Parts: sequence; C-alpha cells; structure tokens
Amino acid sequence: MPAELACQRLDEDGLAVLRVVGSLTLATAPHLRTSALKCLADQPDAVVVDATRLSVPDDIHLTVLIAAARHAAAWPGVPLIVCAPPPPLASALARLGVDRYIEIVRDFSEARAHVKARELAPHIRAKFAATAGAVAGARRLVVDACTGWRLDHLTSSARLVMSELVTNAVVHAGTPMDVDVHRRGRYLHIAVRDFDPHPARLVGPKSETAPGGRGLLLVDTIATAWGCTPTVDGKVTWASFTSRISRFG
Amino acid sequence: MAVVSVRGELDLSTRELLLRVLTDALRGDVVDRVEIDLAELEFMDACGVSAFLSFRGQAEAEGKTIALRQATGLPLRVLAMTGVLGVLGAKADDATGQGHAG
Repeated sequence: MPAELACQRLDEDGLAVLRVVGSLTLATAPHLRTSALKCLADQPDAVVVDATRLSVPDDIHLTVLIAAARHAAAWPGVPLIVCAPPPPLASALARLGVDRYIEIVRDFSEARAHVKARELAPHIRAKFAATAGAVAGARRLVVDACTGWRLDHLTSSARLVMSELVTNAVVHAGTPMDVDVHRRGRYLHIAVRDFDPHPARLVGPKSETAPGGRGLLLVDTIATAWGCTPTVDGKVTWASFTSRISRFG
Repeated sequence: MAVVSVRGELDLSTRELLLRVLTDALRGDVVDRVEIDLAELEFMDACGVSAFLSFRGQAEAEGKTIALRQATGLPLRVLAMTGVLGVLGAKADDATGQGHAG
C-alpha cells in the first residue's frame, strides 16, 4: 500500500464504507481503485467513499472515481457515493462533471437517504436458464415493465434490445443469467448479467448476405446507450433508453 | 412458386421450425421460388434476419430465389435497420403491403 493513501473499510447497515485518507496521485490511484472494486464485489447496497480526509492535488486523478463508478453501474444496485468531500475536492468534482456519474453527499445521513430513494425506484429482476425460451420470457418482462411504468413509447425498442441481449447470453455465454429492468428518472435501463467473461463486441456482418452479426448492430442503432462491463464472475451487457426520445417504433 | 405465411414471434426459439418449413417448401423440382408472407408476423429480432439470409443462401445454391412480402410494423423496421430489405427481395412497395398481390 502506498504510504500517502490509506483505504480503510468500515461497513455499516449494508453500506460498504471506504474511508480514504491521504493524497490521490498517480501512484496512489490504483490502490483506491482496487479497494473500491473489492467493496463492489461484495454487492453491498452502496459503496460510500468517505472523502473527509482525501486531498486531490491534480484533477486528472479523479478519473479513477469515474472508472469505479462505471464499473459499479454495470450491475445496477450498487451506487458509488462520495461522502463529505472537503470544499476544494467538491469543486474539482463539479468541475470535471464527476457528479454526473457519482452521487456526492454532505454526510452519512444524506448517503443513506439516497440509497433508500434508490431502493424505492421501479425495479424488476428475474433469473433465466440458458434456453431459447429465456428470450421470449425476458421480452415479456420488459414489455410488462414498460406498460406498468407508462413507458409505452419505449416498448418496441426495449423489447427488441432485450431480445438481442438475452439471445447473446444464451448462444454465446451459455450460462444462467440475471435480467434487470429499472427506471431511473427519465431513463429505462435493461441489463443482462451472465457468467462468461468474454465481452460482447459489435463486429457486424461479414457481408451484405452473411447471416450473422446483426444483433448488436440493432442494439447500437436503437438504444440511447449500451455497453458491456466485466464483473468478478462474468459480465453485464446493458442498454438504456431515454423516455423522451424513442429512436425506434 | 410456393408461399409460406409466418405468424407470431420469430426468435431463437422459433427460427429452427421456420427453417424446416421453408426448406420443405423449397424441395422438389417444380418449386423455383419461395415467397414468405410476413403480414401476420408480430415480432422478429436479428435471429429472424439471420434465418431469412440462411434460407436465401440455401435457395441460391439450388438456383432458386426467395422473397419476403408484406412485412409490416416491427419486423419491417428490423429488416430496414439491418439493411437486408434489398437482398431479401422485399422492395419498399412489397414491404409496406401496397403492391405485389403475389
């Protein structure tokens, strides 16, 4: 462990609290990253970085927090929260737009309130075996979610993208999968977690008439955003849709 | 010419069945063309596109032709977005169901 930065883990009430003391630099950033990922691997309700005694001499090293937040976002349910940053750090986080990826709160009670609000957000999860029937099952799940949450204008897009993501999990990963659908603000997120580490890649068809390679092409065309993120035991392929714009249907 | 009508949802779990039926329709010396009517196809994903392209290749190897007709709604948009309307013989007119009485 680099001497200038100490990461101490103190868990409470299902939250993984990471107290970070010292200076975040090029040399110490990997240590913070590893510590944050270790916390995430346990799937707590949230990872709270206690930044009370953290200093960041150079803005550039804050990207380690963005990277960790992206990793956390891959499997919905584990937000990364930065708690009580000193004023210079708080302004640096705002300057870099880090607050778009990470919730920044003043104290622990605000962090807990944030986690609570998140738990109450509309959320559906289901497990499927790696069978061809999983594809239609997951489609029904997202269609029901869109209907229930009054996102009818997103139904076609979400249904088709879900079909592609689950087909890939069945055909390429061949492992059981967890499917997650949730709404946050004006976004609908769908995510399919499998237990095969090989990432989903957009390759495209080999020729105009070659049968394969169009699934992720459709996902890329239709979803507002999509991606594939590794987890400790596999990967999560996800897509999101804004509820204001429908690019399909 | 043979015509095969497809109804319901075309995905990973139904593509093999579709391909079996299409292959049967293509069999025999008298059939030189198979048209696939999608008027009642409610859903299809990239598996469907892949099935139609596989079938196209199979027909071509036997010197035969295939064409999609009457695609509408979501299936039509999937065919358009994947850029296969042309190679699958679904002209814009056919696809919108305005032409081609077949």
